[in-house]
Amino acid sequence: MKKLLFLFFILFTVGCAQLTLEPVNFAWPIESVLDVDDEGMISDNRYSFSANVTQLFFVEKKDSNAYNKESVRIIRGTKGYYYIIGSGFKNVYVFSADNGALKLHNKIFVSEFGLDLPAFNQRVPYIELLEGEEHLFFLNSDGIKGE
Amino acid sequence: MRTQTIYVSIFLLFASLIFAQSDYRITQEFKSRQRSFEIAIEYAKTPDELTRIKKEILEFKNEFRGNKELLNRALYPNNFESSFTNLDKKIQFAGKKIKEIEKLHTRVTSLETDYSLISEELGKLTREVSTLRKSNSRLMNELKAFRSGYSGSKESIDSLKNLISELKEGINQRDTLIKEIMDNIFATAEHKIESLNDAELKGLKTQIQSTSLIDNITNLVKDNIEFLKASILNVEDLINLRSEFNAFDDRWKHFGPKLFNIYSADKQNKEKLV
Repeated sequence: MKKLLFLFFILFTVGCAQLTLEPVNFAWPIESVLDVDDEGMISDNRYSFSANVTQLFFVEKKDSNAYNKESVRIIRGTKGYYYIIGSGFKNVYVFSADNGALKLHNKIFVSEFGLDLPAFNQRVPYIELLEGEEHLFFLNSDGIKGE
Repeated sequence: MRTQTIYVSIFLLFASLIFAQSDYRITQEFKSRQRSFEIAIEYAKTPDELTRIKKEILEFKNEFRGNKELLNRALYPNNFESSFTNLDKKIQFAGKKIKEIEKLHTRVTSLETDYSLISEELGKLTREVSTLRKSNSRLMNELKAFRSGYSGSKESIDSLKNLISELKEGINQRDTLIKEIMDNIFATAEHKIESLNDAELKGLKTQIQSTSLIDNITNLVKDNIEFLKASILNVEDLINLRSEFNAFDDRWKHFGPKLFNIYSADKQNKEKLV
């Protein structure tokens, strides 16, 4: 009897730990264009999303004050990764949500001189990257997936 | 023909891969144009203007129909159709507002016409009062002169009677005209004098001043005293005058305090009314 109870307990515990809901579509329908405030914060009312991007600008532009009066474009893909880019950026940054932080998953090189008018479109299962009205690439969290 | 179609298809596919539009930009453009229409509706002044805007909105809707799916997702909590339903509701509301304004405008025009007619009538009455007053004054002087040289002959008696009758008639006419002026001035405002705003009060004062109403009332009283002093009235005249006086007194009880209220801050005219 004790063994049976122990078996039920093990099954219940394992069952809870492995609870997975799928499939999940995390995709935002369109990108958000968010101004960076004086503290380096961006926030989006629609998705109740906010983040500090000072480190992102430092990594991209090698200047700790580069975020001043800038804006970033951000979109979330179907798998839940956040794609971020800004004007003049040479890379698209792919982040995953991780315990109250955005953890860099991939840095995708897209332009040698930086993009002037970058924009994202949601094109499931990819994210489309544009320069103005010019299509550049289809991206996923692993990198460029074709033009 | 078949080869041409294939080439065109390849070109279109290629073009669609090279030229692309940002969904964000499309959404922003849609929102911006939607807002422009909202402002245009708000500022529309005529039904024709609203009809034109309605037509332009229809063109706008057709232009963005291809992006309906994107906009349904991007415009959350609204969507493509609800955006146009909102615009339609705004047009209907604006239409009602414009109709209401037009109705009020017609009413204002009609009131302005009425005001202009009353002012004209008042001007005419005031001129008549002035003429009658001059005529009465002349008759009174003639009467005084006649009495000083009165001989008692039949011709003299007849002339005296005629003069007195003419004078009485003139004074009666003048009194009636003043009453008419008072009625005209207070006809529209008599029930709300206490609650008139500054502009309405100013208009009423202008009418009272332009018709010299206070002076005319003062003259009316003075002339009637003069008339009594002249001792030319018989019993019947006195009875008539008494009834006239009572009628005027009733009127004065009604209009006097109102006039007094209107001129509460005007020392000169207030003293005339005391």
